[in-house]
Amino acid sequence: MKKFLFVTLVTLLLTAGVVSAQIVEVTIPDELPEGITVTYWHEWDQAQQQAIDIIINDFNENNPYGITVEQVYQGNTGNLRDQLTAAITSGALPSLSGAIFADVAQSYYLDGVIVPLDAYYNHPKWGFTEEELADLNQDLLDINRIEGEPFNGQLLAWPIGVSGVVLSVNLDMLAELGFDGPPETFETFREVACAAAEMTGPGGEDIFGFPIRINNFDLYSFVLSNGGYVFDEETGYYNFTNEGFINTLQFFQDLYNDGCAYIPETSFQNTAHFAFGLNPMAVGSSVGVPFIRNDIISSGSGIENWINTTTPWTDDNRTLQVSMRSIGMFATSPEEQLATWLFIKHMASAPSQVTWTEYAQYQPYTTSGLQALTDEWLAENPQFASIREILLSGEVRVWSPPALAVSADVNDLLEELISSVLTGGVDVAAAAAEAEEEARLLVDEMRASME
Amino acid sequence: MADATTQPEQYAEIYAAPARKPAPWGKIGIYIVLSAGAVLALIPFLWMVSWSLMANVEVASGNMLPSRLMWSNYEEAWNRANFSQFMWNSIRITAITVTGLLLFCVPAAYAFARMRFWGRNVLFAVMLTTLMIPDIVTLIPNFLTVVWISRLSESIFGPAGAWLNNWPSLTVPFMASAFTIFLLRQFFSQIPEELWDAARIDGAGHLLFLTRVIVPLSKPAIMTVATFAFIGSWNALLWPLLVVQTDHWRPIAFGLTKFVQNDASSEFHLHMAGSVITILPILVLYFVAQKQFTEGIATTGTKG
Repeated sequence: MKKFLFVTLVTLLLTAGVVSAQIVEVTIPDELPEGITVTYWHEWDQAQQQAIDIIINDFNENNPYGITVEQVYQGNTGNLRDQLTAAITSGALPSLSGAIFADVAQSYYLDGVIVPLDAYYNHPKWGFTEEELADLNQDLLDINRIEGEPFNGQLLAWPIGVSGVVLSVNLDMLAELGFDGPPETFETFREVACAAAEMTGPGGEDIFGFPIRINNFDLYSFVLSNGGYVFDEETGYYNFTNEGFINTLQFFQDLYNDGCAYIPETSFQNTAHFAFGLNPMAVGSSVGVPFIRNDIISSGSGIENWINTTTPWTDDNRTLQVSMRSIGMFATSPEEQLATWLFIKHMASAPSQVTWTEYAQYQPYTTSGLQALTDEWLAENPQFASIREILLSGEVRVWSPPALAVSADVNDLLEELISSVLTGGVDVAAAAAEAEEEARLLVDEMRASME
Repeated sequence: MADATTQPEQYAEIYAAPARKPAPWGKIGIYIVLSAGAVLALIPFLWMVSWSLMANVEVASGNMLPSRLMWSNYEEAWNRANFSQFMWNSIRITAITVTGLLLFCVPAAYAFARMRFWGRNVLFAVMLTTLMIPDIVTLIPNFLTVVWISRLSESIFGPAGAWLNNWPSLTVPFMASAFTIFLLRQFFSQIPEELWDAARIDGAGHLLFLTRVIVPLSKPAIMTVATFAFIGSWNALLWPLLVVQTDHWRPIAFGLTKFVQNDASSEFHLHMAGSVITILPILVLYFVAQKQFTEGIATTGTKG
């Protein structure tokens, strides 16, 4: 329904001429009048809300331009996207919004509502200094640069932090099962899942095996770590029939059929079960740590030793899938856009980066932000520290999913594929081939619409 | 005094032992079926209340009953989701919508039922056909209409005239309802013509007849449509998500979304507590207006 709403609204606004499909032209004033208000729509809750409160209050109190940032919580990512879709039609866009990923930024750019940031980034007065530029992790920023026409490598969104798809592992439970650390191979992973599925908890409750979410991101992590790939850069199409991909799907199917895995009923029930001590490991986001901690405390499960790591891997294929959650600036007035940019710069500062990391567990995208994290804090946050260590070790491949405008549709395809493989008992190779063909059609349609 | 033992034969029938009645198996069967239906209807509600009193871990574990009653869930849900603001918004929105609905639909239904004018039947038929169109199909055209009206209104009256992020967009589109007009028209049609004749003799026109005769006689039907409108307005979420982007006018249903599928985790225990808070006013309204509601449904011929 949400996809229907989004596609129909965008189609209507283009055909009705409500909003021109022309690209936004950026005009940057030399002076900024006092008292500009920046409206920031976001999806942050709980610990993340606390972090954003601190960052915004600090900016409102200390910026020399009298800029006031007003934040509005718009619900989860999906709700926020719906709000943006409606706002594009009504023209009542915010100055800044969250829930922007590279694929979504492309759509908004084509709608002529999102402002490329390069002109601000490189501006002699309002942009970054040489020192500040050197502090930024350009590889991470480049995730939001889309090559090819009509984007031409422009920076369409600004990162708010890096999160990774990680495997949370209950070391206490594994020790009880006779394992001395997180599983590094697919064979050991299976042994842990199957052993846990036979366990009974301290209160007599059944312990479940490994939760397989109907979720493409989890699948990607396992596929990449299993020597497979998702997107063929040479052909420019998704590939679901390579050996690693097929082997991973088969691994999931066998695990499920043998009773060593289950399908959680909701997106985050896997980590909720993990926090409650009902499963030995769960795939989730590295920024889910505060929520898992809260659940461990509220449930009284008593889990003390748990860490985040990567999914198991074969040979040299250890992979950490990262996601760059970003914010986007929308076309308003030149003065309001400049004020918004100054707030974005404030978010890139080391104190803001540290606040964001300490509360929300996002990995900083600046060197100064990384260095500002104390050893004491890292010791108190072993889950963050373990991922940071993995990233710094150089032994892991950092990978992001392809950022195409049809990514959301391909995600839906893969969810159907995973579901049919697990519960439908279909032939894995045949089902994967069918999904690959449908993905190919989607990419062709996307390219045709851009010509 | 004579009694049954000494009475002549003519009293024998009267004082004879009553014949055995057959067992009321039909009634028993009906009551069993109705009771089963009632239990089935109550189960989701009871489940919701049970989950609302559990810790999240118990909900995730699939427990049916809480190990201890956590009334604090209600307080936490109330505070976390800003229910005080959203409930006040919903009260205002619902009051304005229901009032407007009755102000517009009662006269419209009266006109269709009691007045004769050119094209009446065609107009009524066209209005009825709009009931066949699913709401989702008209959602976007309605939104575009509201956007354009908002821009026009703002250009005339300034920011105070804006419809978006304001009460007009939440209430005005729902003040005219084909279903309400149809339901009331059915009821008004049943009122005897003699009453109209008597009113005319006394010098009353249509307006006086409507307000002094029709409306007092139509309380059950009016309560019915008011209840339907209240429930629809109170539970609305999709439309408010489109037309309102700030908490100033967001309804109570938006507060519930805070606990469901947020980017952190789903807090079912708080979601259920919030749901109980949300439906309490509807339950109170139903129990207060139950008699009129049931009578209204029965007399308008609208069932189920």
